[in-house]
Amino acid sequence: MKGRHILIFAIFIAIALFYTMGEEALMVPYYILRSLLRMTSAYILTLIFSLTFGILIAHNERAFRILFPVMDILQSIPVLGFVPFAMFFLITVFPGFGTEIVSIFLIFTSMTWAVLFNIVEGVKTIPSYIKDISKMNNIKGLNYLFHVVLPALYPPLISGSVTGWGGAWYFLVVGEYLIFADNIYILSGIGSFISKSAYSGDMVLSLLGIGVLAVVVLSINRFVWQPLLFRARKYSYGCQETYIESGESAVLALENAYREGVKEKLTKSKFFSSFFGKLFSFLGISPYSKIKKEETLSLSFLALLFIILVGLGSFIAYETSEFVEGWMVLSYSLRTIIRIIIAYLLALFWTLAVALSIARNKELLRMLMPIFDVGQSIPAVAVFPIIVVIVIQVFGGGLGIEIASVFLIMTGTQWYLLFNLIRAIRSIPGEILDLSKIMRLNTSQRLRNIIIPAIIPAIIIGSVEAIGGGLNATIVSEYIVYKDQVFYTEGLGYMMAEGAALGDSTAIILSVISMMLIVLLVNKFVWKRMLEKVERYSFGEGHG
Amino acid sequence: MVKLQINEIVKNYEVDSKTINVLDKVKFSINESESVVIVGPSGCGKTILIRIIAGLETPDSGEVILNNKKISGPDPNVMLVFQSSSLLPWRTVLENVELSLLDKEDEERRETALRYIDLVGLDGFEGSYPRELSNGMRQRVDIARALCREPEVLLMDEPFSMLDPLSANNLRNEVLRIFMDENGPIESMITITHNIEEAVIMADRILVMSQRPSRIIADVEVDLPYPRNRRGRKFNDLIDKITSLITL
Ligand SMILES: Nc1ncnc2c1ncn2[C@@H]1O[C@H](COP(=O)(O)OP(=O)(O)O)[C@@H](O)[C@H]1O
Ligand SMILES: [Mg+2]
Repeated sequence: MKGRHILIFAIFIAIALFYTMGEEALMVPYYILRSLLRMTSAYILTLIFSLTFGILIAHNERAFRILFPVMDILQSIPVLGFVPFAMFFLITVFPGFGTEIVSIFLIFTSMTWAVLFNIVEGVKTIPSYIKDISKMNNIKGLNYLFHVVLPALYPPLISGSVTGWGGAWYFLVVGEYLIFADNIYILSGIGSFISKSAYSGDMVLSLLGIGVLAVVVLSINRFVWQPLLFRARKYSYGCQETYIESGESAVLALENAYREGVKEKLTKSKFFSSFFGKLFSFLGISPYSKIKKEETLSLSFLALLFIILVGLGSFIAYETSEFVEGWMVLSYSLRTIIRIIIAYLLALFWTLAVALSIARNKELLRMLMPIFDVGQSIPAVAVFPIIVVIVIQVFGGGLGIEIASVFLIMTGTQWYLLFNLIRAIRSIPGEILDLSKIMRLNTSQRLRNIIIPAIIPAIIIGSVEAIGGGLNATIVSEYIVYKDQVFYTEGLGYMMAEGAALGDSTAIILSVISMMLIVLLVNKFVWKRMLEKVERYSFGEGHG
Repeated sequence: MVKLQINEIVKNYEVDSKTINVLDKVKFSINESESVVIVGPSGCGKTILIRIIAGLETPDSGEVILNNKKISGPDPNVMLVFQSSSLLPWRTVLENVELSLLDKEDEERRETALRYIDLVGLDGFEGSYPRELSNGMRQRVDIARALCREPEVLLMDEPFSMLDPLSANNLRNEVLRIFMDENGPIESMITITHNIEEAVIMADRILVMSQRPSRIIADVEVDLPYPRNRRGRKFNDLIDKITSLITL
C-alpha cells in the first residue's frame, strides 16, 4: 500500500463525511487525535511494562518461577473483565479523569500480552554465541542492556507490537464507551464515534467510522510499523516476516534520536552506569543468567485454586445477586464454549484456505495484507447494524441472534489464526518445497506430508490467541445494542455485559472467573500438550 | 617460559541420565611465543576443551593456569575465535570490533578498532553490516575483534573450516604473519583443526587427542622453518605421522 493510495482513500472518506454530517465532520480529526493519544499512552505503558518484566523474567530464575505463571494467569483475564472494577475504583479516586485512565488501562491490557510474551521468547532465542561474546568481553550492566539485549529484542519487540497494537483497535471502541451500572461514560474518539453510530443503528455512519479507522490503521502501518519492521529485518538472524514494504520515515529519525540521546547518554553517565550495574547484577540480568526450564505448573495450579476459591465465594454470595441463579454459570459456560468452538472451526477453515493459497504469492500478499490489517481492527460493535439488519431480519430472533453472535465472535478470532498461518507458510524453507517438486508430489500429498506438518506449531500458537480473542469478543457478541434495543443470547459474555449494565458484581466476577478457567484449562490441557508433541517438527536449530 | 597450563581437566555430560565422560584428565602446557595445534577425531571434545580454556565452561575437575595463576571464567588475556562467525547482525564491522573495547575511551576505542580492521585486511569495510560480507570477511572481523584486545593467548576453534580453500589459505597466512610479528599483539596461540595439513603449516607443536573419553595421546614437535613448504619430504612425513596417530 503506497502513501498515495491511502491519501486518495482518506480524501474519499472525508468527502463522504462532509456529505453526511456537514460541519460536524470537522470534529473527526479531533476524535482521531484523542484516540491516537489514548493508544499511544497505552503503548508507552506496554513498552515499559513488557520490557521490564520480559527482560527480568527471561533472566532471573526466581522471577521466572513466580512472575511467569502470574503473567500467564493475568493474560487469561478477559480484557473487558477489568473494566467494572477499574471503573468503580478509579472514578471514585480520580473523579475528573478516571474514565480516561480506565480507557487507557483497558487498551493497555489488550496490547501488552502479545509484546510481553514475544519479549520473553525473544530473550530465550538470543543465540548462545552472542552470550559467549558478551562473557568474553565482560559486557554487563547497561552495556549488556543497550548493546546486546535491546538490539537482540528489536525484531520480536516490533512484531509483538504490531500484533498488540493491531489487536487493540478492536477494543478501542469499548474503551471509549464505558458502561457501568446505568451510567454510560463516553470519551470522545473514533471508537466512541463508531459505537454511537452503531448503537443508534445508523449504518452509513458506522461504515464511515470504519472508513476513518481504516485510514488511521493503514497510515500507521505504512508510516510507523513498516519502516520499523524493515529495520528489524536488518537486526534479525535471518527469519522471515510476513510481508515488509521498505521505507524510511520520521520514525527512524526518532529511533536515531533514542540511539544518540538515551543510549549514549545513559551508558556514558558514571552515575547511571554504576547504579544499573549494581541493579542488574542484583537481579541477575547478565549473559551468565540461565533459566532452567519449566516447573511452573504447580504455581499455576495454586493460582487456579485461588481463582476457584474466589469463585466459590461469589457463589455463596448468590443471594445478593438479582441476576445469577442456579446452574446459570455452567450452562452459560457451555453455551459460550460451543459458540466459540464453532466460530473457531469456521475461522480455521477459511484462514487455512486463504493462507494456503496466498502466502507464497508475493503480489497477492502485497495487495491483501493491508486489507487484513484493517479487517483485524474492525471492532465487532461496528458491524452490529449490518449484522442486525441482515442476519436477524432474515433468520428471525432466536436463530438469527445465534448466527450473528457466532459471526461476531469470529471477528475476534480469525485474524490471529490468519497472521500466524501466513507467517508460518512463508517461512517453510524453500528447499523443502523444491524437494516436494522433485519428488513429484501432487497437491494433496504435498499438503498432507509437507505443508500441514510444517505449520502445525503455528496453527496451535494461533489457536491459543484465537480462543482467548474469541472469549474476549463474546462480551460484544452475545449482547448487541441496536436502535436502543438489546438483542442477546445467553452465555458468559452476555452475563458480563448484563452484569456491568446492572452493576451486579457477582455476575461480573463469576463470568470473568469462568472465562479465565476456560482459557487456562484449554491452554494447559489442549494446546500445551499438542505443542509438546509437535515440538520436534520445528525447523529450529539442533544441538551439537 | 610456560604461558598456559592445562591441568587434568575432566568434563562429563549427563545425557538421558547416562554420564558421558568427554574429557578424561587432559593435561598439557604451552610456552610463550608458541603456536600449538590440537587435532583429534570429530566429537572427541576439542570444542569443549577450548571453551573451558576460554573460561566459557567450567570443568568438573582440573584447572587452567595462566601465568602461574589459576583462572576461573573469561579472562581478558585469553580470547577465543569461534568456528563460525559470531558477529552481532545489528552492528557494523567497526561496531562489532569495538564491542570488545567498550571499557576504553571513545577516541582510543575507535583508533584501535580501525587499526585491527586494517590489519586483517578489511580496510574500507568498516561501515558494512555482517550480512553484506562473505564468510571469509566475516571471519576476519571475528579475528580482528579478538586481536584488538591484544590477548596474550589467542584461541581459535576451527577458524578456517567455513571458508573455501583459497580464502582459508590467505587468512591462515595473515594470522601466522600477525603471530610471528615480534611486536604483534599475541604471544601464544592454540588452534583447533581437523585439517592435518593446516596443523603442520601452523604448529610449533601438534597435540593429538584420542576418541572419547579423550586425552592427549601424542605431542609432536614440528621443526620446520616458516613459511612452510608444502611439498617438502619432512612436511609429508609429518602429515603421514599425524594421520596414523589420529586413526589409531
Ligand atoms: N551441552 C552438551 N550436553 C551434552 N553433551 C554435549 C554437550 N556439548 C557437547 N557434548 C558432547 O561432547 C562431545 C564433544 O563435543 P565437541 O567438543 O563439540 O567435539 P569436537 O571435538 O567435534 O569439537 C560430543 O560428542 C557431544 O555429544
Ligand atoms: Mg568442534
